[in-house]
Amino acid sequence: MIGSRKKIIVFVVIGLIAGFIYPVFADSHEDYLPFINGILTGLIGSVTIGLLELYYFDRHWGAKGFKTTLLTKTFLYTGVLAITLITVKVFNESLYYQVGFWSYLKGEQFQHFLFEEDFQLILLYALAIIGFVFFINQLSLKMGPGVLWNIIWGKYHKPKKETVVLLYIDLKSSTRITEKLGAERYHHFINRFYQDISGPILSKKGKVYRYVGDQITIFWNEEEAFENANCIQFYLDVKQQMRSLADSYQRDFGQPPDFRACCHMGELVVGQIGDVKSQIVFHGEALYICEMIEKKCKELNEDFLVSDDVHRRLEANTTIVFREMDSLVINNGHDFRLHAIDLK
Amino acid sequence: MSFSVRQKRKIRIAATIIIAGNALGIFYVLWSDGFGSLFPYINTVTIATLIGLVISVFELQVVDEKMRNIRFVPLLIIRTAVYVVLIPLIILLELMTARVIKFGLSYKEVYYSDEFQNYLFNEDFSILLVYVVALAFLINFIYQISRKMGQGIMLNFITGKYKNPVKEERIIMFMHVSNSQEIINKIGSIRFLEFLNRILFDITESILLYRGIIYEYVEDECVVSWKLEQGVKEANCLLSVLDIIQKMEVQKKSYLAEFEVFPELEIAFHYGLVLQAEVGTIKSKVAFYGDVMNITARMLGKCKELGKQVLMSAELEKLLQIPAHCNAESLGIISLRGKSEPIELFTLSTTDFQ
Repeated sequence: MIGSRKKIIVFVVIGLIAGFIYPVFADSHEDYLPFINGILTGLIGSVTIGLLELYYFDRHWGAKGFKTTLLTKTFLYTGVLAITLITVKVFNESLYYQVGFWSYLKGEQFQHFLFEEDFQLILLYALAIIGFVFFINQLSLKMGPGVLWNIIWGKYHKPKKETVVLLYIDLKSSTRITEKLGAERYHHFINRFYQDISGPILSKKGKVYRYVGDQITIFWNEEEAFENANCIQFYLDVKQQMRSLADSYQRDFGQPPDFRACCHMGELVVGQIGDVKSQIVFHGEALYICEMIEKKCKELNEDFLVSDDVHRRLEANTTIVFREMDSLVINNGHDFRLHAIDLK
Repeated sequence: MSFSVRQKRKIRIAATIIIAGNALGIFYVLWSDGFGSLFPYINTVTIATLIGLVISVFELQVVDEKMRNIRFVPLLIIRTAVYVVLIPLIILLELMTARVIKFGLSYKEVYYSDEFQNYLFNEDFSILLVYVVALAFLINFIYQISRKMGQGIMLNFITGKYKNPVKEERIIMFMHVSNSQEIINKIGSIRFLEFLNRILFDITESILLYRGIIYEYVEDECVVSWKLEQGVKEANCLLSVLDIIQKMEVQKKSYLAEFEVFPELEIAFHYGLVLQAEVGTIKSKVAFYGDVMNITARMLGKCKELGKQVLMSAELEKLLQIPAHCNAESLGIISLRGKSEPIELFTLSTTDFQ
């Protein structure tokens, strides 16, 4: 999964800082022990939380509501942290005072800490930090990978040029299906489709640029697009996935989704616009050309067209066979050769 | 006494801040002092109201007017720093004043009294400082993100209001820069985005002032919506459009000086049933679906052909109380591309903007 390593690193850093800061403010001890306890608890706790995230929540939790997820994680992880803290503290201090683990745990000093002293405050402190971190984490998920980060650091505060590989996916005969299903069920249909392609998007390192009507725009930076022909492999993966899900769509909506796609690349200007609502937007001819190619798909009744710019970059590292098509000629006289794929 | 729309908005926001401040303050006293005596509560309400006032002035007169274009992190630091200095200062001044009045002492005597010195250096004040720093940072951080996400979006995600589609009548406004291609050719894509951003910053106030909600930006287009009753009330949606046009006229020189070009805006608005629903999993959006979206987009496309800057549907015109300084003129029944039924369109003119 994308960014999982980054996620763990972020957790560990936050854990270490929080673990270090607390004794600075709160502890009356003047020796090093509280700091070791704090740092160890922060480290072990954050790694445990990271592993839970990776191996449980990212894989098996699914799409539950915002509040449910946030509350579950906050209380579960505060619990994890409480257990970690007790274990670390008892372990360290029983070594320090040279008594057994269990006898220190049951001893008067530790019982005092647990029920009359700092422990409850520490729990509150942990609850607040964990709640905040996962609140932001979930907002960030809603906004799309990297979007919040880029807005916070103002990466595109001044527009800049970037080479972007674009892929448009468009559901076929949407008007007919809308009429048949009604607006509400059509929404569920399209949302299921978005949900099902999010696996391939993540595994092929793509990102969602936007949803407009029933079209979705995926993009890659140059390097990730052509690593293992990700941008093309993505289309094949979606095709494959839809084939295997056809029955379940048939059952729920009376038909499987049929879609067309096209892929093009070019230099775009990327910038953050708007005050009370900010969007990071692309601007440039490549978007327009991609739209033209999409129209061409319809015209030629092709499922997938790739522009020559993308095709040229692919030749070296893929065994996929392309079929050359007519050129697309745009207003200013430029022509773009197109290539189609035949699936076995 | 009557206030302008701008003043009303400022009063509304200031009232919200003051009420929220009072709630936080009372919560803090409940937590630390309980119901023991009335004195802490009087102090808290005075303090929270004072702080609310000062913050409102800072937010509305300084941040909104002068600091809108500052990056996220610097703005967060400035805000937090200002709050962290102002809030404890106000608290100390108020506490001292309360004691000056209660015991009939001078400020100097109060400051050096044992009780006050004890409060400052041995007791609650340091905890209060930590509480202020943490809260100022958290609230500003979340507020800034919420603002960037768009009006109401964060709240909708949290409550999951649109997880299941919701139908609602809304006024929809589409607006775009009609001479954008020409401008791009002249100043290039990078400058064009800066230009577009400047326009969006300029029109945002006119939208907020009249209770509009910015839905999204697509290419050189901006889509705004109103809840039906809010848009109809006092003809808010119409006044917002007029305000945008007027503002653009006023700013013309400044655009020409900065970019050597001037935006020609075209605006279309209409109302109808909108299906709102959260779509997407790795990137979510509360999306609008419905005929009204298509029709309004088509209306926008008609502007050039009809030679009008603003088009409004007759259905919407019927709901609005057209203000005296404004004139809505029917253009007759017009057929739109891809729509079988033609609709009657109106255009707007006013004595205010020429």
